[in-house]
Amino acid sequence: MAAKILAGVDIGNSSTEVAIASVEGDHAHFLSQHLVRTTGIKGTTDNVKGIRLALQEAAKKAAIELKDIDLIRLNDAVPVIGDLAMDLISETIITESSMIGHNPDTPGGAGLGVGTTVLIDQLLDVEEKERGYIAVIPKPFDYEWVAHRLNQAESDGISVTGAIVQKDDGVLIHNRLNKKIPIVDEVSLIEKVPLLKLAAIEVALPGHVIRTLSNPYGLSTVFQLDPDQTIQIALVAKALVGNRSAVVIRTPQGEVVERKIEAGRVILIGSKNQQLEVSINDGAEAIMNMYEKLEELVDVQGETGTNVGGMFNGLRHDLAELTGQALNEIKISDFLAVDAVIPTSISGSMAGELSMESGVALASMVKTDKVPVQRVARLLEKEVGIAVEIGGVEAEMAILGALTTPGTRKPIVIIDMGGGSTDAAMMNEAGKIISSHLAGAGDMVTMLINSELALGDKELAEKIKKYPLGKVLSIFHMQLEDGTILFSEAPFPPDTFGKVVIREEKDLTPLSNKASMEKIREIRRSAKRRVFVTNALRALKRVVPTGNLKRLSFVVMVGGSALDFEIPQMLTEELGKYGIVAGFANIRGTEGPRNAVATGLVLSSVRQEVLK
Amino acid sequence: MNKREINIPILYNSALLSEQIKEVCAGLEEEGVPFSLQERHKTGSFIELGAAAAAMSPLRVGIGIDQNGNVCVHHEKLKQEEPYVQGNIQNGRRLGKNAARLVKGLPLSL
Repeated sequence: MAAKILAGVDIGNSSTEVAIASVEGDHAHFLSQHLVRTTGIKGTTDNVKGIRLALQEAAKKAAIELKDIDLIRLNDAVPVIGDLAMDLISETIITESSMIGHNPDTPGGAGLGVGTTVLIDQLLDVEEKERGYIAVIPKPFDYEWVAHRLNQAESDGISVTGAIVQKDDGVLIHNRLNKKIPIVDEVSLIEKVPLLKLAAIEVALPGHVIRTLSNPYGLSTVFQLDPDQTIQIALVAKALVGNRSAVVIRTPQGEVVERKIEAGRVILIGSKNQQLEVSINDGAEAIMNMYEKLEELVDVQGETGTNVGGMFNGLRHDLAELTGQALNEIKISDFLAVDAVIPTSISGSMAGELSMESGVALASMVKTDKVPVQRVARLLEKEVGIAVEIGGVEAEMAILGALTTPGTRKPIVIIDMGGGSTDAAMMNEAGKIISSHLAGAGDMVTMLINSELALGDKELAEKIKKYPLGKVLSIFHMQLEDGTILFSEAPFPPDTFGKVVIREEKDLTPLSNKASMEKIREIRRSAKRRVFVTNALRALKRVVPTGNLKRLSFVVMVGGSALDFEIPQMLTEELGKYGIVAGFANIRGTEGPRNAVATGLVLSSVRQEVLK
Repeated sequence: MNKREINIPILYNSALLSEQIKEVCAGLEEEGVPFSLQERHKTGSFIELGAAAAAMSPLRVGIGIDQNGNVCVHHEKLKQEEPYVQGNIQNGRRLGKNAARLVKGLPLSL
């Protein structure tokens, strides 16, 4: 019997994978594999373009012609589509500009000064000389002229207690003063500093943080506030904690409000008219705990007119658009809530300060009617002129593929960690399969990193997720995450010097973020843990009969996120606690966690032939 | 034995006005790193001047400025023809700052 050439094609949310094998009797000999980005939304005819490309490349690698392929087997894509949302549950608003809190590299002097704000060129004209003044110095003024002015004011008997400077001139001015004062520089939006108002300025010594203006009672002392006013200003103190320099300006209407946003309740609707509610202010854990009490989720709603209502409506809207279903038909079949930190620019800030507010990130998914894979199959058949058939259920194919990993056997659980969803499936000794699809995966990790580092750049966040960090210490040395030092014979590029860099395979991408390497690493790892460890446990509890994880022995991770340099280890560690052997797959002993479904598609057809 | 003074040498062509060099010095001063100004009469490229400054620098970093206002920040351990940062005297403040930050191990502003 002549060998047949078979191609397995797996269309995923983000990538399309192909495996080509030559099949003779019940023996499959794999020739090649290839991976491309999925073109269009999974399950739509746009996918054909990507499939075609993947097939051509795989055929080239196998040294065959595309037309030599006898049969293409396509996966029956899981009919779920996911989306992400994120919003604040609290926010600090300063209704009038009244503070600057930032960390210029080189402020001038040190100490505390209290006085009335006045423009530098009007300083010599002030009437009450002893009152105490804080000079406001916009960009056009040269440091030598400024220093000269300040010295003259001093000799005229005008008491100057501090200075706010727009340019990076703090040390230069300070060095030229006869009487030393604290100077806060690099205040970009200096034009927003209210003039002729009482202000306090504080600069800490290098390596220290301010102590008076970050203490509510320090502020109440400086501004002689009554208890009610102290309660009001306490939020300013809170916002200034940890800064090396700060300015607080009292404006009559200056009022800081911590607006507790009407964050709203999440309404979980279960089968048999079960309905549970939880306030989103209680945090992600409380929401997920409540979710666990539900037998089966039928839909989730957010209280209308609140933030969470807005989030779920947005998700529904996106999902309706993606699936082409009517808005009222969209039922959220799973969701994952994760606590998140959302940097929010303080309204009325003068140096671009951000305050880290608490929020919640949500991943959710809907079951779609049925992904029209048939249409994709028909178009593909027409375009390449090769017979196309739709293989079995995706979970089954993935398990068949995963079982080619050396050292595994049934019963086995696979966790497919993709970009949009985390899918799990269990196969028992008898070959029976239970599977489950959960919202939240790689894309959610990217969203969390993007937000918590205030990057505003999804691609950069994606890179931070994927690669380890380093810090360039000198022209020739870089410190790595584990503390070891790497020496380079070629000098590191000037744009990376002194910075935290993302160590891609070949390139270094410098981060302009001021956060330390440790901080960025912690955010990255915590984002991965919050999404994947949570979801792995959730997934296992669903597919394991009785939900008892101790009865499991083999857990194999597949999918794009199983390629991650640290997620699999996190899960190995976490699941090890239950005595589970968990690790990322090595499909066919060579492919790592990739190509499981495509491989399974080929193998399932071999088994069919044997059965005949 | 004379204790060598710790500073960043700035070698500059004598045709330049001291007013032009002031901004480079201001950049170094703002960062708190000492410098020493040294005039050179013969014409040499700013890269040669920078390399010479770096070679004599106790901090391994030196600055060279030629008569046309080309500036480079050089490091002793780099190849002579490849200074670390180059620019024009119009951005003197930033170049001075970068030389200081190179010594301090802080990110440069480019």
